Amino acid sequence: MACTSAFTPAFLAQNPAISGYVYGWSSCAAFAGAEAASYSSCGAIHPSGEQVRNATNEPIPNPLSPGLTITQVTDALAKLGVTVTPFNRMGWSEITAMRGAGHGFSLCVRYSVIRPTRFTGDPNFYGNHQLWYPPSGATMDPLADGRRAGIYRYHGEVYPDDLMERAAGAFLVNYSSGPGPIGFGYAQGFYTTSHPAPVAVIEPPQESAVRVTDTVHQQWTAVGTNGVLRTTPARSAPIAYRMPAGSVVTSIAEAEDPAGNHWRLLTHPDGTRNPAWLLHYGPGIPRGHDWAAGPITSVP
Amino acid sequence: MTTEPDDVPEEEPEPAKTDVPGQNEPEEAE
Repeated sequence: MACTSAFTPAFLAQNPAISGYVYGWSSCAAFAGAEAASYSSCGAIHPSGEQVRNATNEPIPNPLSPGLTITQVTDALAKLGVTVTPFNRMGWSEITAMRGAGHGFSLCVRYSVIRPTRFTGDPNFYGNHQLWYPPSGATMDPLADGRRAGIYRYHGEVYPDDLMERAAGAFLVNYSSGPGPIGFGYAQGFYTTSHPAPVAVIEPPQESAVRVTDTVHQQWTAVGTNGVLRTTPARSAPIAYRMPAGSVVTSIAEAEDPAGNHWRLLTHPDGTRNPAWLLHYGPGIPRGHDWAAGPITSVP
Repeated sequence: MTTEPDDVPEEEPEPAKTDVPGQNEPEEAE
């Protein structure tokens, strides 16, 4: 039977009383990484959280900083035969689009956002944490073992996408100016480079089927390495699309197709549109996640 | 209409470490 993005790895609890791993509490990233390995290989490679942690350069947690970074985990997974791709900052739109294409994500989050919800796996934890966030949205939180009343137990439920986005955006990172959240609409983590075939691919509408409801005429230029668009004239909030630095977009149009899906269409200076830049929200896709992903390939 | 990303520094942050939950959990067996 073909393996698809509906493949679900075994849930791995980090709790030492369940995992049997003495450093379980310090190793959420290793447990989320183990689930990523299983998903990426359709179960062919299925390490434990302990095995992932032991493959890192910090098998014994540093008492001053016992957790792990994404690169420590991605290096460990490579040793175990699984290639994943780390990212220091990615736009949520691109994450949404890549999940739609079958990539699973090990997502860095700030637990202070999840802690007060019914999904909490530790009502006393506020810090940086890591979750397995598959295309299905059925998040695996290594803390969600239902060990007592008030602790959520993983059972394949889809987490609200806006909860995931807010938790990811609150992840605390270090800038040269000091610590701060990575920012709403962004995330740090890694994704499965290889992945099962997507269950379904949402096709963009034909141009003729699109009803453009609003158009913003400005020039947008990508700066930096992470596809942040700056506008002319300046706009307070940059727009996160991933594209090569120097890429130019002259209009961003809101559109709605007959099925009620909403789209954002980016047009190049020569009037062409790259279908890869159509992004969607609508039935099954929450509003507010209409950020496009994909390369611009025809900028003059 | 839509939710736009925060204004963030152009500087890309370095990978940050995770923290340690379970601090108030009972001690567990090996």
